[in-house]
Amino acid sequence: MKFKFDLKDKKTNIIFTSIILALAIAITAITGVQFRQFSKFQTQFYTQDVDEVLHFSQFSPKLKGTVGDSEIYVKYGNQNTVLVAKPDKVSAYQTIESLKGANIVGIDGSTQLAAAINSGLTVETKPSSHQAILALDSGADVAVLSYGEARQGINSGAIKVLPIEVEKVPSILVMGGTHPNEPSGQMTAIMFLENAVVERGILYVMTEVNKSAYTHSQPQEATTWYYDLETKSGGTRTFKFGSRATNTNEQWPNPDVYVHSSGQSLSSSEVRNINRAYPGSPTGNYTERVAFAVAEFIRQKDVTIVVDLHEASPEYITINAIIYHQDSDGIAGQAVSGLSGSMESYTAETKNGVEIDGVEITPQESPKTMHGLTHRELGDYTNAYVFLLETSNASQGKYRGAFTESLITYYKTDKFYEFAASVDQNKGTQLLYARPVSLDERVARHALTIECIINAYNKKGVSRKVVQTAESRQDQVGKGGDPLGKLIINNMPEYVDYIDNGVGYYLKDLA
Amino acid sequence: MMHFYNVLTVLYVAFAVIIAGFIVVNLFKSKKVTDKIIGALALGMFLLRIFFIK
Repeated sequence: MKFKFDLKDKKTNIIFTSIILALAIAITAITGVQFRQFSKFQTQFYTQDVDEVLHFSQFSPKLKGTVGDSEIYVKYGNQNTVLVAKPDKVSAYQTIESLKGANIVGIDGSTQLAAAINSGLTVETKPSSHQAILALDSGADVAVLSYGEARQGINSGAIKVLPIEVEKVPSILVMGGTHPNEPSGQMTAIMFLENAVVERGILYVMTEVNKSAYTHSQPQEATTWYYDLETKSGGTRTFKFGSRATNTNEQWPNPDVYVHSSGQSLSSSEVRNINRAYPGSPTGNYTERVAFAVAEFIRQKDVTIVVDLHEASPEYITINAIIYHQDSDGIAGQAVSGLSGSMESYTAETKNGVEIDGVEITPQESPKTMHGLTHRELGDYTNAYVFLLETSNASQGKYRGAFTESLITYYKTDKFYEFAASVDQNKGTQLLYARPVSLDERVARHALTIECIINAYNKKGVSRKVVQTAESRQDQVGKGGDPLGKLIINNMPEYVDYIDNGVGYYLKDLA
Repeated sequence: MMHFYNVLTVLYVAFAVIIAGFIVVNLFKSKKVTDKIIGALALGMFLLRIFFIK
């Protein structure tokens, strides 16, 4: 019998429609399961060298138990002065007054001992840190040590750090993952998390500032969800490429117009953009709660320098730039132009003999009328020196071709962007404000700029401004405060190292 | 408040079932292959969106 395909035939119609329906439901299920896996996928970071992990919910309690309760990784400087005691004695020594009459030991000739004596403490000296820790076992109440000497005991739980500061040190917060579709920001934060050795000061790293935005993808962009990088030993580390905005699971619907707490009106979807939500609110919408956690953390920890890492599409005007709060202009200017290691004057030769030049990084002051951004609100509402950095990212742009992993890493160039760059070069147009470059180079630019900011801070000898409001802080710029001394962070790869070896080389293998 | 939330959820799921059922019925009713494929795709998109999986 010859089969004739005719949908008017009832039996044929039922069989054919059922097959299509079954296929559609199968594809829907596979897509749904895959996306659910992406949504739940937790990017792993190497945290073996981290001294402490804080959570956003400690600073914005309503985030407790939600996806946006992100981590803050803390690395304390080896030279930082700490007062330590046996765990059973910690509760007795919570203030500097409570130490009067206590039996305190310190190491002869150490800077930590000097800091304790300057704070008015009476300290019995011991020849070494080993002797000082042993003294805690045999009657001494408190020991004054460097964090490097105390680290092993702290990590094992044998001793605990007292909440008493006898020496203030500067600190830096490196913010990656504000926008999960700007991968070099997160990757630079990871470079600091996994490589930095802090000699003096405190390093705070956020790898996923808006963690909710990592649980979904950028709508209508057909983006790749993951990208892999090869480590030094040949292992693979997987990272996510998420969305610019908070997931609608956490915050929906968008209002018709987003009105910021300052009164500024923006388009509706910007209500889920954390970099339009600062200074945030502990009881506001979800994005504002996350923003508040960041601002409150900076206030409570009195962070000295804040660097928020971003990227922009090559056809966007604010690119290869440091955007700084007006209180940070001295540091920004020095970071960009004054230092011999600044990006503009940077030249080096790669392993292959290719001469690389640093690009010009433009300093731009944060507009006072543009609200909700880190460089405006964190500068106004905290005592930190705030900077926002931008690099050129092809995977955010609109000229691009197919969205593949290589568009993120740019290890393989995109022919449309290369064409636009060649038109600019040959015809003098300005289709692009900056040529897209590889993830290695974007991370290198971010990392070198941060290094320049730290060097500028150290070189200028900026005194900490201890004030309460933006207005009074304005009056006190350069007029003194508590000097915090230098911030010293070592072991970070050089600019040329990233280009030579790739960022993957500096990622640690996960256990 | 919780009661109100539950009522809304039931209404939401009921609407989802009605709309999905409507699409399925019309898939069988239509006599053109293209209509059937478009309907099947629409059903997939609808279900993904309903369950917040974009």
